[in-house]
Amino acid sequence: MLGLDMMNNANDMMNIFNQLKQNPMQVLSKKFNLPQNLNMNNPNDIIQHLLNTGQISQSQVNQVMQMRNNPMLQQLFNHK
Amino acid sequence: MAYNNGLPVGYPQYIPQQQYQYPAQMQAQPNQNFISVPSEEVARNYPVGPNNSVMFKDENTPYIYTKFMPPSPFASAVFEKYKLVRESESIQEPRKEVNAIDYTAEINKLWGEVNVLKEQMAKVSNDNKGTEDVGA
Repeated sequence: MLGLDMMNNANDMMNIFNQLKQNPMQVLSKKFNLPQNLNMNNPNDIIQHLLNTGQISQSQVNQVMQMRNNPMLQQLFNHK
Repeated sequence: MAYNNGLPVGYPQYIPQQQYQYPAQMQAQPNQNFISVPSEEVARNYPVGPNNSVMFKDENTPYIYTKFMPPSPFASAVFEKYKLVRESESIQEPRKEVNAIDYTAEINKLWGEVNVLKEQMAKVSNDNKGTEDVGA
């Protein structure tokens, strides 16, 4: 029985992963309750919505924005 | 006698200096109070949550920006821009006005004249009183 549960969980995870791979914005919209009229091409708009709804904090946003300036991370993202 | 590491207790111990490797996390951290931005536009478009404020330092110009989002979701963000001005390190003496005129002497002279006039008026008033009494 435990093995079947594990298999079901693994299947669920694979489904989510596949959905994320095919249409990541749709999955994220569903998870974070993003409205349909939100401009998905503008990350700032998405972040602003998440801030307004209290799903993320200002300090988290600041940390992530600072990370973007990190040269090591920039090199990592450019390397792909 | 007690020994510690081959040396008597109390004897100055030699502690070899270790080459300490600072981990990456302990390297100079960017100032967490200011967010570095390449331009004013980036600061203006920066996401700020309700009842939050963020300070920015422009990387390319000597400006600092602040953005405050009021608690109300219908209110607009308040954006302010400050210019950094460097002050000279030398102590500057307070500037003296070169053309300042001292009116103290003239004022004192005028007060003196006012007092003289007051005395004269008082004297005239007393003289008039005496005349009125005589007339009555």
